[in-house]
Amino acid sequence: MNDTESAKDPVSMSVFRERLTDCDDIFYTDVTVGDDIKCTVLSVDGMVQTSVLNDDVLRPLALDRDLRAVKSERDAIELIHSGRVYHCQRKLCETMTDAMSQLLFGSAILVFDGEGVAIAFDIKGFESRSISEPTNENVLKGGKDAFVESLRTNTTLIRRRIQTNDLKIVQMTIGRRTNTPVAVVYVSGIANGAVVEAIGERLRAADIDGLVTMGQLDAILHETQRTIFPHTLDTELADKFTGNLLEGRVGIFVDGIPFGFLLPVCINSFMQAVEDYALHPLITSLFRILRYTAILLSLVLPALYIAITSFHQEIIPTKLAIAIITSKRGVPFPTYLEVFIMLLALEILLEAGARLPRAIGQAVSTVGALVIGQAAIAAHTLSPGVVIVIATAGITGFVVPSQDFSTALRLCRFGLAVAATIAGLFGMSIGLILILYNLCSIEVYGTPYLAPAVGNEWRQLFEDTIIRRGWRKKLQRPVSISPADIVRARETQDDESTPDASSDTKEDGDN
Amino acid sequence: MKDTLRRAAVLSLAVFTLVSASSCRYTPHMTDIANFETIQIIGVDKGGEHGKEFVVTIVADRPAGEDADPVVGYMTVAGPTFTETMEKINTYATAWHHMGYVDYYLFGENAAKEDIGTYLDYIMRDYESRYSAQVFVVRDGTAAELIANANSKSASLLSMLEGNDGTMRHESTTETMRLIDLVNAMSTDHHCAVIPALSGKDFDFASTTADDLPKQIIVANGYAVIRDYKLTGYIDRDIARGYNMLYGKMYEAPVRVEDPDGYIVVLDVMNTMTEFNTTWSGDKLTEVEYKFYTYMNISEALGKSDILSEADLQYIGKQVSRVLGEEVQSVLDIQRENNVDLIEICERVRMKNPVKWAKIEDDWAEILPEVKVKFSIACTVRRSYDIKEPVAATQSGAEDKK
Repeated sequence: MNDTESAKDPVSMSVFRERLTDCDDIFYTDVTVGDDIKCTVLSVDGMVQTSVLNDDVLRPLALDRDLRAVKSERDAIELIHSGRVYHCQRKLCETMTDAMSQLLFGSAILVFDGEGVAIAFDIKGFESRSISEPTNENVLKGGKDAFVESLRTNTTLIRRRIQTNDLKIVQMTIGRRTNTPVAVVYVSGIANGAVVEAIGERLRAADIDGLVTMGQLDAILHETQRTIFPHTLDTELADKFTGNLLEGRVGIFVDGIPFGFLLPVCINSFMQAVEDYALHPLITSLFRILRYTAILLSLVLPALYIAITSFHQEIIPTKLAIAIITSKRGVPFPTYLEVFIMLLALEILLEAGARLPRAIGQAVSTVGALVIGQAAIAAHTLSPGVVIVIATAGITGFVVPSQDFSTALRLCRFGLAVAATIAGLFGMSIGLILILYNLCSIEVYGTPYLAPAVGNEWRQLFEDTIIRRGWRKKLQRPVSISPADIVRARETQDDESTPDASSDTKEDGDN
Repeated sequence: MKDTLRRAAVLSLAVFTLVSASSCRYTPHMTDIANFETIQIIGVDKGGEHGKEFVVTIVADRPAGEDADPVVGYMTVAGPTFTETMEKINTYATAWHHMGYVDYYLFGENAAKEDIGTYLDYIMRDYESRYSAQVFVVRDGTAAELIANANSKSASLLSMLEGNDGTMRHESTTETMRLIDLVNAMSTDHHCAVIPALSGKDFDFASTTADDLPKQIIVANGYAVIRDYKLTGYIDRDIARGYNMLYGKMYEAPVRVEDPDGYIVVLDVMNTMTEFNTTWSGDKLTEVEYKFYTYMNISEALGKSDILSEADLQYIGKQVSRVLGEEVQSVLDIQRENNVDLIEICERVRMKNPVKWAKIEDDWAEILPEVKVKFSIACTVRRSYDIKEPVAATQSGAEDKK
């Protein structure tokens, strides 16, 4: 801050009182320092640690020998700023904007009205949720500490995992009215500088009154794209966030949102779970193949059932056709209507389960699935075949680790079912082409959404996409996100000098 | 470019939806599967009241539901033409008869004698028809009779055909044939089509727990020979194995011969490999030779002496070669008498010598009678299962000790 700016916007108690009218949670404590120098300590009730304020700020102001002897505000400010008030985090605020920002961010500020400056002491201490297990992402083998609403706690979780000066945390505020702290996190030397710069620019350029939801952040970070597929990977797992930073992605934390956001992403980012890196590569690869198969089933199964039972009956094996026809005896609805009823019922059950408290939500899902489904079949309202198909589509949809991606798939499933109802497999093919076209048209900060299946980096499909290679092999970071350092792991050579059990035994025997 | 493509895609979809919603007749036709009747057997006969009508019998399997017993329903309809008869079936029926689930086509003997091409033409033109459906000729009877006589509460022709699929192969008397293979066989003038034949046999089991038995069961009864779309004769059941060997369809088959002492030994043919050679004089085919290598196991021995010596096994092998050789020779005799390529020699020649075949292809009908067909059968007994010596030999040995 230069002198010109501070001259235009000096710190003033009268301005504070004016701007903080009807803010009853602001505490004003008048303090006398030294030889009758009047100053005021301002703090927001509930956002500072009162004991720290008393012991580390107010007590030195009153008892320090040198401070008691000061004659002018200038001397007092210099002494305090040089460490007489020994709270470690202090900052000299020379403008009103800076001082107000520090106050509302949770600092206690000591205002010297005469000099037009304030000293901020960072003694934030508001009540917040402690680190707990994740609620949305289950972890079987991996760290269970999940992000919380406090930005600083979240950055600490990452700092504890990446203990290097290459971890950069760039903080800024967004929101004209909310001044929400936002942190851009990346690993210097791995993340692409252009991407970091582009994200920073978008965040800084955001002109919005407040940033309180994930949707607002998504709108700030991305251009308007006509797609329902997610562009930002959100996670509440510190392990997953760290892993993605080490892959070369850029993370974002927003104060008040207990998630970390990662960019740039491709479809594969939404298909990976934390356990993938804790299990044997072969098992992980099988799980990933299973996931891709499952999303395909989830997407096309209802539409395929409509198409083959309403338009292309000849492709159904005879025994299966007879089973389907038998199961539809007495059912008054055509197959497509049955499928839509069931799809709608499934969505209602999911929505009800999500909105209700967890215990009741589970009960609703169970009752809905078992009791109503069984009753509908018994009453010949629905056929068992349709119930099996929709249940399979529903369950396979839950295999996707990302809820956002799973939701997008559910919506596409409806679209495909409509297309299949209109024109059978022909319509379904058109629907799938449109979905593929949409996926092909998405780019997230220069990364194609379908990478590495598109472009010339298809070999990475067998490195850490569908197939995951072991850590002892040479591994590259995803080429599609253009990391600054492409090599993720170098091939490990077996150390021949390592004694094995058999040689030890032999030596012992010789001895 | 991206926007243009997107607009084009959206416009196409919109047009397609509008056309579909406007009851345009060129949109795909929707029929719910619940409205279908699943015909699984179609029987085709020639006869009816005037003796010249087409008679079609359809069989539909309706499995048990919660409130219904399983039913195998059949319906016989006659008409002046095959097409009209098939249309009549839909007129009389309560549900849409879908040809896509027909697994078996049965042609009555008279229908096969008349012109099998008429029915095949109709069947193959229907897009619903499955090419994997099996075809049979009903020997000495009609398809309608066979369907009616084989139907009961406890069994049906459908279940018998499904069950016999494996049985026929096991006996290696008659091999099944797919619809597409029949059409392929008929699409060439070089050889004739050979369709498996079925017959009804009176139900004569001594005891059974089933309360309602069919009048007849079905048995494989050799092959029907179709030439110029007409049934011209049969390869009998007792020599059908010879045809299978020549055609390359010999699977498991029991062969009964005598050991050196004159006692019966039964052997299982486990595998047969065929080597085919041709002899040419310039561009003229003079001789074809089949070399069969048959591997078998001893399944049953009723003699009293140990037959597992090398000399005895060689003797038994020769006996098997003789028995199988007689069957093969009988088929070759039929071929020679009728001057038809029953066993698709032409196909083997084509695959062996494609260039030379191209030169004689057009004259195959004239060349075939002059081509000498030779064959040899080498039988190898590989295993004797757990038989160390005949059961009778052990019993007689025990009696001797007493």
